[in-house]
Amino acid sequence: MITFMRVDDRIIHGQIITRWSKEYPCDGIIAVNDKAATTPVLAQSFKASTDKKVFVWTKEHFKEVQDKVLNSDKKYFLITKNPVDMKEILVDMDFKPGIKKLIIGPCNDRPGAVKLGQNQSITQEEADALEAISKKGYDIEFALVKESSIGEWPKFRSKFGY
Amino acid sequence: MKYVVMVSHGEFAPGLHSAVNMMTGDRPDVLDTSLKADMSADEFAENFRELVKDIKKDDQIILLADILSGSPFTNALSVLDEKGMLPNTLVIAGMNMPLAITAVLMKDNFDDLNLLKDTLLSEGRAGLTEFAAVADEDEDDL
Repeated sequence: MITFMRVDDRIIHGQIITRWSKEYPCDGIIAVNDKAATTPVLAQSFKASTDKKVFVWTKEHFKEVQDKVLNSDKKYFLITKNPVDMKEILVDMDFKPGIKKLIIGPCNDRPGAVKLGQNQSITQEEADALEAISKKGYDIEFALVKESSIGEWPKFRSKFGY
Repeated sequence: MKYVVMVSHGEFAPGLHSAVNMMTGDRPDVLDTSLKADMSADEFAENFRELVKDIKKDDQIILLADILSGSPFTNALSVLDEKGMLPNTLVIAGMNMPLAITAVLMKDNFDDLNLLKDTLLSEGRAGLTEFAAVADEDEDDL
């Protein structure tokens, strides 16, 4: 089962995982990212960053095993690098994680991105993905760590034409 | 040629590099770059790629990083992987001053990176220590 969903442009960050796993039960991490899953040194680096069990999968592989994830008794964090990949999982694949909350963590400043908070910048493409996830019934909160939440998607969507 | 390349968050790698320079002198085979606040990981990777562009496949790299699996660590490895340099790279996380000085001063005494590794880890670990002041009661005991 999935107990926590997060977008983090560093994908897996040891200290942050340790922090969030005090808020939500966590037996392991499922990171979905095509580049990391197909670059062994990246996958190994993520696995070394935490003492939790870590899976680094392509979106294609996640699609194949999604039912196995849901039917497992183990409690997993689901993490993607960006909102667009999360939208593919939650909207396009219609994956039903059984929870409604999605936390947006670090998203670096990039050209064309709108800065919502410290280290939280969103491009129009990502905003479109978040809007689609929101329409699907998910609550999207921007928080690097639990204590530093800057608000939920409805507060920011007007910056992107919604 | 063997290079020592330091990477970190913030000013740690450039700072450590400048501290090491005070002990070893400025050398062309010691390099650094770091991920600054509000810099994207891609920008860091680009800077790192530029930093190591003249390092050739038959060179060796001792990569020192501030923290295991942090973004600087991961992105530096990713670039070295693209360059096909990983087999010639010794990667150590949790860098500190004793480790970095030893790396710079001792690297050319070792042909085998594996042997150098043991020395560096041992110096780095020994450098992290508590200093406990002990009252010396025998001070006047001539």
